[in-house]
Amino acid sequence: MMPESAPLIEISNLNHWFGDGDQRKQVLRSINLTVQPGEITILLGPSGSGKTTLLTMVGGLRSAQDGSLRIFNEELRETSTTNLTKLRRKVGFIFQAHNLMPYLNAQQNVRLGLEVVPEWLDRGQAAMNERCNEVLRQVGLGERIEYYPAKLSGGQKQRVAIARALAGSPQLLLADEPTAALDKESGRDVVDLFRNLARDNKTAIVMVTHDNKILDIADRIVKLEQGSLVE
Amino acid sequence: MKLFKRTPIAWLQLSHRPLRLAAALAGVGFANVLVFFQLGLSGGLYDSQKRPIQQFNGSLAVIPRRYTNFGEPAGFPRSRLLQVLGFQGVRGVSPLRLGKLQWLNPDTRESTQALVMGVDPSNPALRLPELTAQRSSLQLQGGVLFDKASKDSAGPVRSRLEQGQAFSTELNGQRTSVNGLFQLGLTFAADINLITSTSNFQGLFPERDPDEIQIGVVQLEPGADASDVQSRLNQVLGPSLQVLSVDELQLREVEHWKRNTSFGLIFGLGVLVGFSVGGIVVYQILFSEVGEHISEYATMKAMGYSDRFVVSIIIQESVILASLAFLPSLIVSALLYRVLMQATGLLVVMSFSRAALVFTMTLLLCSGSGWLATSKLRQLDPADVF
Ligand SMILES: Nc1ncnc2c1ncn2[C@@H]1O[C@H](COP(=O)(O)OP(=O)(O)OP(=O)(O)O)[C@@H](O)[C@H]1O
Ligand SMILES: [Mg+2]
Repeated sequence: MMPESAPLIEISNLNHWFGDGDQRKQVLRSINLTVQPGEITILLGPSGSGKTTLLTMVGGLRSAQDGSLRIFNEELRETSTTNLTKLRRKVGFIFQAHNLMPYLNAQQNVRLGLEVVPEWLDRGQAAMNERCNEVLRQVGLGERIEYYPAKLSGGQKQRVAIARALAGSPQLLLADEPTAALDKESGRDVVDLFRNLARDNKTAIVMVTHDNKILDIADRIVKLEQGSLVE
Repeated sequence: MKLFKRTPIAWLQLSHRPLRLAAALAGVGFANVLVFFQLGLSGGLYDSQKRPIQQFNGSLAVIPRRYTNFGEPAGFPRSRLLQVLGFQGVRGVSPLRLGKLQWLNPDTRESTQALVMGVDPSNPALRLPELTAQRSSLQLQGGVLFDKASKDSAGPVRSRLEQGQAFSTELNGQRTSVNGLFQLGLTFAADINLITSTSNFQGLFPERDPDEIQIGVVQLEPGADASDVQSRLNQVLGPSLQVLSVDELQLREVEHWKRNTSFGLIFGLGVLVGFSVGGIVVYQILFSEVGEHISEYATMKAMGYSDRFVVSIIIQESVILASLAFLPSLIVSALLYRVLMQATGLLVVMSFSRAALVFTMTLLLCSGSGWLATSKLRQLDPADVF
């Protein structure tokens, strides 16, 4: 394990462009950001400012082009695809769209998030189901465990996706507008879950949100404007 | 086993759309039946050529060096076969005379090629039960026994005899009566099979040397080593004759017809078409499955599932499709074989090796199609979906 003090995310001078030639457009401009374990960072910014782009890069979904991007003390720009896949297992990602599997019920969807973690897989079906149900209860879906996504409301689907990301108690949680589809109360429940995870599990959390009501849980708020980070 | 701890994603994905699953299974099953049908017909055509030889009353056969196939055998003197008698391990010999004649249908005046097999009524070279049961009919002067499987162009022989009426016709210009029936099955050699006694055979082929026979069937002493006797007989009989086991002679017959007919090629193409249909069905189904679920696969990749894992889901689906479709198509094909056998008189039977061959081929083909269908998945970059 890494020393207590080592940052979980270290970004320095990160630039990113989309497109080629004339179409080439810079969406991230010399980003510098360090996030410690247990720290909650909220990322604000207008639509199109590059928040999702930055988050997917931190989660190892998009490769870095220029600058340095380290998570779990590993440089993502240089790492192999195999290692990238392994790193993704340590990251809980809540996507802007829920991206649930329509052919799996709520519990099975959450289990996908657990089965990718080898330690959980080793514990077996019963333990995994137990854990899935626990997290589903925590997001207020204890009664919907066997529902398929088609039978869930938008907010309920979003909460299944949150449960899927939280089930494996990741060291790093990246959330792209996790409360957008939720009402005030269930949004608050989710945010409390995040806070507990950061406190008890020392999980570092980076969350994109437009929701002013939840800014209070942040240890730090940063803002993206036209690809540049302002504190 | 990690496999059993995992959520069976492939199966859940397939069974989530039961109608589509049923359609896919029907498609793969249909392709299997098509393949079985082609293999059954071509196999039946060739296997049927073995039938007279399968009935040989012995384990070895003596044939002339120039032998090509059962329908066109050269002859050799009976005395050469008798040489074998008294040889260690040999219990007895039965000569078989073979010849072809034109059979005249008395009603239509149409003539049909008939294969005449001449046997010694007291020691027949063929093991047909009808020969022992009808030994006295067989010995009647100027008569033959008639194969029930013969073509209808022969005339209403079977129905007349079964009604207890007499049937007679002209064979090679000679008045001949049918004195009984037997069941053997046709070969490419002729459209009618007849069996008669040695003396009647001589009457039908007066120009032949009465001492000439076509095949000598050799019976062995109980416990004798067939291949040992075979090789010793081969040495003693010299280069003009050869001694084969009955199984070898059957294979040789099949080989002859495979070489001299193109059924193998024709039906081989049919088999190819069948397998292609199966492959295309599986490809189509899985390709659209991949397309529909692309963002979910991207999500799985984003969660940390490897490319191999995601691709293996599709391969598993193809294996599930191939396996589930197989048993029903095997049952349907076995029923189809019975219909085919009745309709064509060919020896069409399901064999374990054929079933295993088709299953292995479908499995390979389906997983190949599955692999092709995953090309999109393998190139999929999870970031492009968000
Ligand atoms: N795959 C891509 N190819 C080309 N341009 C892209 C791609 N993805 C995003 N962009 C562009 O990059 C910019 C930043 O997009 P991003 O999705 O990061 O915005 P965002 O801050 O998350 O916005 P929102 O709040 O609306 O989700 C946008 O101008 C967008 O058009
Ligand atoms: Mg976004």
